[in-house]
Amino acid sequence: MHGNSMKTEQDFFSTMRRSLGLPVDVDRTVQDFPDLLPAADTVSQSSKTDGEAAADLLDLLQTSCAKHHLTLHIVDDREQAAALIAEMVKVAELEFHDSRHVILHDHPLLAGLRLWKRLEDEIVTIHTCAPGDPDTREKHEICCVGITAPECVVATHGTIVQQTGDGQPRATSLLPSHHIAVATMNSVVRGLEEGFRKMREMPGSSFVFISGPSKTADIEAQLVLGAHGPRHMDLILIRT
Amino acid sequence: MIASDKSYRELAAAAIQDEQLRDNINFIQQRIGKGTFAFWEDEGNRQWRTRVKEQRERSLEHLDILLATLAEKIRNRGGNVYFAKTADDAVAYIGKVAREHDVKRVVKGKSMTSHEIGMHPVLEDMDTEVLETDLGEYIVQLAGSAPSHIIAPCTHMNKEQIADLFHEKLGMEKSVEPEVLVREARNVLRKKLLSADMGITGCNLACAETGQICLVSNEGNIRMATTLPKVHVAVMGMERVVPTLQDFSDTLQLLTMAAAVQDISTYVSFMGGPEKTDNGDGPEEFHLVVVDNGRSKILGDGEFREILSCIRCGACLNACPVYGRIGGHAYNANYPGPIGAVISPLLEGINRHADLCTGETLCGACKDICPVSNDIPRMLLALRRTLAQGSEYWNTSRHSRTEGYGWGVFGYVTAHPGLYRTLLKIGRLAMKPFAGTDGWTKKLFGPAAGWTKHRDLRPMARRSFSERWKQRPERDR
Repeated sequence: MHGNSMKTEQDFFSTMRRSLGLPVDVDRTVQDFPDLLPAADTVSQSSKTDGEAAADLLDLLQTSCAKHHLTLHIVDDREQAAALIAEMVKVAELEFHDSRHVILHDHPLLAGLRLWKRLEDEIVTIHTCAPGDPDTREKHEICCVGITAPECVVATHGTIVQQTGDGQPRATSLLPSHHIAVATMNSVVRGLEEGFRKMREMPGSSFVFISGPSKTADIEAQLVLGAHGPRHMDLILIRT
Repeated sequence: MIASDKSYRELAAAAIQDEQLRDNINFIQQRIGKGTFAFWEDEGNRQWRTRVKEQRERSLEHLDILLATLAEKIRNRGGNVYFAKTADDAVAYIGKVAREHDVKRVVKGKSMTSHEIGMHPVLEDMDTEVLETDLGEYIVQLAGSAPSHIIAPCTHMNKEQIADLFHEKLGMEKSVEPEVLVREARNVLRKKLLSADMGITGCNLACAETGQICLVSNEGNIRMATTLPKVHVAVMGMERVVPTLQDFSDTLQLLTMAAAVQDISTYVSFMGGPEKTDNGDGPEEFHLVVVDNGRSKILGDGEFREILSCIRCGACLNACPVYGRIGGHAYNANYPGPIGAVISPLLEGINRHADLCTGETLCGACKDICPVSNDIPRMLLALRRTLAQGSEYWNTSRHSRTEGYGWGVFGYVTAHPGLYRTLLKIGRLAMKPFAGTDGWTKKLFGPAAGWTKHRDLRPMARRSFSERWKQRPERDR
């Protein structure tokens, strides 16, 4: 920090301390107030999910996804998931580019679907994000479908928690007109608090909670899907 | 930010005649306002808002610690944090960052604070295109107008007006279908978003514990503005920080519920520094500009500190009968509605916005709907008192000597019952010549003329309550 902005910052804090009725030149530190930012996990815990609760969670998730226009598919295995995605890719709207391109996050779950094999007879180009690829951005601009594997799925809100990681750029769930998220059943958590806790456990500082396709109600409060981000969003949940 | 040369009184008087405006606002008040009120009927939800209010007040008491912690964590990740004492400091800093990167196009996420500090004209003077990307803000910008609602910026316009605007400015074939209008804006703005050099956003909340800021949007424009350009600048009012992740979660959900009766916004993004991966997106540089611009002054006055608990959800606009009839532009300030009637005078000058606190009715709907139960009516009264008495702290002069003198006389009279009763009798007689056939007075003269300009005066009762009480038989009292 330059000397000048250091001084500005000191002024800023001095003024604030004066307003709080504190000595102007004495820094208070977080150590003096152990209750303010407790070191322990402060996010409330909710009960563990057993077999019976899992059915409950799915009910919750069905309702919340419908509310957010997020289309939920529950499939038995990876094979079914791959078949479903292949069908979606074949009919995806070509909104920003004339040929059919699909982009996937670099993730073992997605690689295991072997979409390249499943779609080998179609005129489709499948890209997988790779760190250091200078063309990643350009590829995202022409893709009609983006596929990600979120960290967890929140049942009460129909929300996926997506982190930014190597080979998992932000644009995959944002630029393509159709976003497909693929997750396994054991990644479903009950409430948003658990989503927050998951977020805390993960490295990095860039996360997004996504609940359905992009939408706006700015014109006469009438809901329109696909304002800037994806016009469609699907969540595929694999039972095993 | 002042948009018009006209006064609040003039603008409000004109707006009240505008039936289209009233219909447009009525729509949002009916749809969202009523939904928010219904949410508070649940005891658990009311306890939730009490909890968040307590947390907001605790945060304000420890603001120095929380901001220092937030800044340290962001800096440790390679992000920049700038503490701006004034609006000018903030704008100068943002201008400097833009110059260093030779920025030609800025894409913006919706941010009231960026309007407050007057950033647009300064960047535009540098030949930088500054483009709003929230659909409502984009429409308002195209129209050369200002937002009229905190979360629904173009709520004063209907689809026909928007269709005309798009036809005129974007050359699109006229259509009143929201689907078609949205698609047009999507295509126009996507090109701009893909080619922008810098993204500027506000900050809904910041979390000291994790050192992150959080931005909510339904459209995805804010994600675009924080993903595609190489530089991201977030502008944050200094009161916007919460201590822990639990507070973050609690406050955030209350914000989306109060703002739009949504359990969660489509996108809730968390970020706390430049992008570390080599993915080809995410900003290479991250700047957080923490703005004081008069907030520490508010923090130092126990009477008004409460207003800094505000989380800018705009719910009070969806409940206010005055806003419902005059719309946002009449307030002629950056923040409209009940929250604006308190915060605009405090940030921009109490004398300058003297009419705002007298324009509200003190009905209490704003307090009832507020997710942090801010006692706006109490603060409106405190502003009236500040104007009547003047204040050195607020650099406020007495607004009207006549009014101050009048209240002094009234105070004296009410403290002297004999004098009060005599004047009451004289008043009844003196009013008679002015009253119409229905007994109501429609026009007074001299200093009293102002009272009857916009309302009729009820006739004085023939007998006062205490006179009637005394004449009642003892057993009926």
